[in-house]
Amino acid sequence: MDTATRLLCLILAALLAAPLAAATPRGDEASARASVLARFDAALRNDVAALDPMLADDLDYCTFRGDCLTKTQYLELVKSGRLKYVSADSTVSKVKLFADNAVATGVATVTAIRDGKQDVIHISWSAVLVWHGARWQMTTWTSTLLDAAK
Amino acid sequence: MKTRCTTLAAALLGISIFMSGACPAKDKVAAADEAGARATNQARFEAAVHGDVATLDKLLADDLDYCHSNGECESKAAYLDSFKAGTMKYRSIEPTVDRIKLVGPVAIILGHAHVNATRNGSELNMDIGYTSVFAWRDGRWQLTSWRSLTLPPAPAK
Repeated sequence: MDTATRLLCLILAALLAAPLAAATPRGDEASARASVLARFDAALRNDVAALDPMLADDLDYCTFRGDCLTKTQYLELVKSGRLKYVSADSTVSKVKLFADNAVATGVATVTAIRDGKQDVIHISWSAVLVWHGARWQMTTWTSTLLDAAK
Repeated sequence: MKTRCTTLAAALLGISIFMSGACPAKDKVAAADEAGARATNQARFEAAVHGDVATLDKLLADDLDYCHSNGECESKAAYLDSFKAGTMKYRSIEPTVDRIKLVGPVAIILGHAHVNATRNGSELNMDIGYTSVFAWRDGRWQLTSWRSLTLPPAPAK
């Protein structure tokens, strides 16, 4: 095989490999897990600037009360001080990856002051994350009170 | 030599184009649309009301996390067993869909439902909010995550 043939085959091999590389999920389980926990930390610090890029623009943030907030509404709630987290102890139980998406589930004990009233809640939660702009962003959050009546 | 390399080039290019998107597998994903997810969501509710374990088996992903309104999460096997054992029996489910988001091979459905059921001997007659997450696998939508929460009763008019 001469040099020109080798070069041609090398280029073709690269052409073949490119779409394979593109199809590989870029975010992995560990980074999805870390992203969920980082979101808790940012919320705890009422750090709106840190929260903003962690949340997808089409976020549905559904609380254990059953109300769902948009990203803007959620950030406004944190920014206004009407929602202030005192502590958040969260465990990620499971992360499932679907291409560039992740579904995480876990439990948390959260102490928060909302509209002047402090509550300690134990919740089971699910988060759907989307890999966008080289980072995980949360597109859906739902939680359920663990001590709710059966 | 020239002919062999031309054939090799054509074959590699063909494979490359196939892998990059213009392939039947992608067309299948394109068919996995919002309407399909909505229909699967509805079919799942109907199968649950009919106690149709065979249909549920197809509609539920093997890695299902089914989290009830009390926060308890079950696997697919445990959820199906509750139907087989008769500990979970739905009399009616009246669902509504509020929002559907498609993100790659995943569909997220947010909605509400009125549920009338018996679970572990307890009568349930409640309004719930729910989140269904479906994954597109093997040419169909499969429920991979479910979470519901009990909503307070609507105020009397």
